[in-house]
Amino acid sequence: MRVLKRRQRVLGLVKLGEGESTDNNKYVALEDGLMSPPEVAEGKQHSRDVDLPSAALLDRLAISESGFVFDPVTGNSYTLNLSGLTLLRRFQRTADLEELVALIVAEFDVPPRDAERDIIEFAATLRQHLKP
Amino acid sequence: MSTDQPPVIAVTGMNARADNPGPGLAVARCLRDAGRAYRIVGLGYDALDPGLYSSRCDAGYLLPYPSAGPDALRERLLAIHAEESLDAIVPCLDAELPVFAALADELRERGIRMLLPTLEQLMARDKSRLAELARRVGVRYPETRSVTDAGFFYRAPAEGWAYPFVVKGPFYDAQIVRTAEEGTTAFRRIAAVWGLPLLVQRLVSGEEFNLAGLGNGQGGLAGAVMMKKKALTEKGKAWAGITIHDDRLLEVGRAICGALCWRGPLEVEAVRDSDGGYHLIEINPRFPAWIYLSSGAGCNLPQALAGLVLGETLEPLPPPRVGVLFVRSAEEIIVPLEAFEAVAVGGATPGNR
Repeated sequence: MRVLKRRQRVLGLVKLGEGESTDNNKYVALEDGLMSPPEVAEGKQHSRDVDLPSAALLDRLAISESGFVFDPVTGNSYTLNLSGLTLLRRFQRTADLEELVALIVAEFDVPPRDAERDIIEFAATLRQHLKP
Repeated sequence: MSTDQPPVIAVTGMNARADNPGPGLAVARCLRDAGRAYRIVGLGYDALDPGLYSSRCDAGYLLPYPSAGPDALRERLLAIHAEESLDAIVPCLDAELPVFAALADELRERGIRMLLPTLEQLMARDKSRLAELARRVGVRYPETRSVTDAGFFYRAPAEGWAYPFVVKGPFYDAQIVRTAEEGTTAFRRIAAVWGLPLLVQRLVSGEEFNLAGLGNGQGGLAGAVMMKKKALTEKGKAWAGITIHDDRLLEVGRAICGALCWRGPLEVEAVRDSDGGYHLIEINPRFPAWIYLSSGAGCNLPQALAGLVLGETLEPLPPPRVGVLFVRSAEEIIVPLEAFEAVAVGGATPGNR
């Protein structure tokens, strides 16, 4: 497991209360390592944008200090750990991977490659859960 | 309507079984929250309807079941009117609406007003005609067909109906079935209560959203509150829900009101697929049981209805607050034997409360 300082995981998003779904989704507790980390060429790992949900979708989210996130269109709510909260807020301003990696490295004292991998996985998790 | 007495509003649907409550008590509670006083008369069909004994109603009366027809209902309503001087009635149950609609003109002449859809409007949103309406308003609607024999559930896969799909009663009830055996069991259970034909409907994968609204009868949607169900009873009814805002769902509600010139309350049930598109599932011609959420969210739709019915000018409703959660609870109402006796024998709660 890629360990972040303060034992925080970037993949710390839990969707709350999905008992109403007709395809029987229940609580989604995401596990580390769901996504395979992409192969990143040396020297290019910080030169691209992260594939995020649309800016409109990210902007509509109500994000609290506690890490509670509410989507006012879908009614879905989520909880984030500290690193997830830090990232989601930054995602609302930038998709620049280099900037995001620098943020996580500085805040959580992890190697850049681990930070990059977790950021990309977290973005994929958001794309999976946040719908238009 | 007397000027020195609060308006008297009768509300039906006082049944409140925890797994499938009627909307009446929630409507009464909304009226209690309104910024003015009403005398609220609860109308039920059974001496064990909890709303008859609730402090949210000032009096309670029994009605004959809708199957008794308009004459029996007229007679009973006029007897209650003689006691209560009703100004308005808010019918809250699907099955009674055609009977109340048929009596609307007569009751209006007696001073009792309602804001109801016409019989034509009611028919236009009937399950058997919903596909046609969905096409008119440009909303997706899952393929649906009529079924009159249980053998269909064994033929279904060969006829292009792969399991699972939904079996629905003509007026009420629905069940997802996954096998022919489940299908035939559901068919017999639902048909025994609601009659034939039943409907089978493709299952749309997604999340269920509801819109409660108030049609002004002129093609406009006077107000709307949208909700996502967060927890269900075993009957699929909302046990918890949260207000949302989605312009696409609001547009569905507006389009329906516009197409039908809908008069009165309605509930639009829709499933939102993974692409964010809505599929119309049902239109209920009344407020839903979760309507108290409208008061909680600051957009009290029953209060607005009362104003419209009483002929008041309706101020623009504030937009409901988004992210307001309700969680339902069940509680016991303690009823003195005398009150139970009065309802069971005389059809009315004793005295004024």
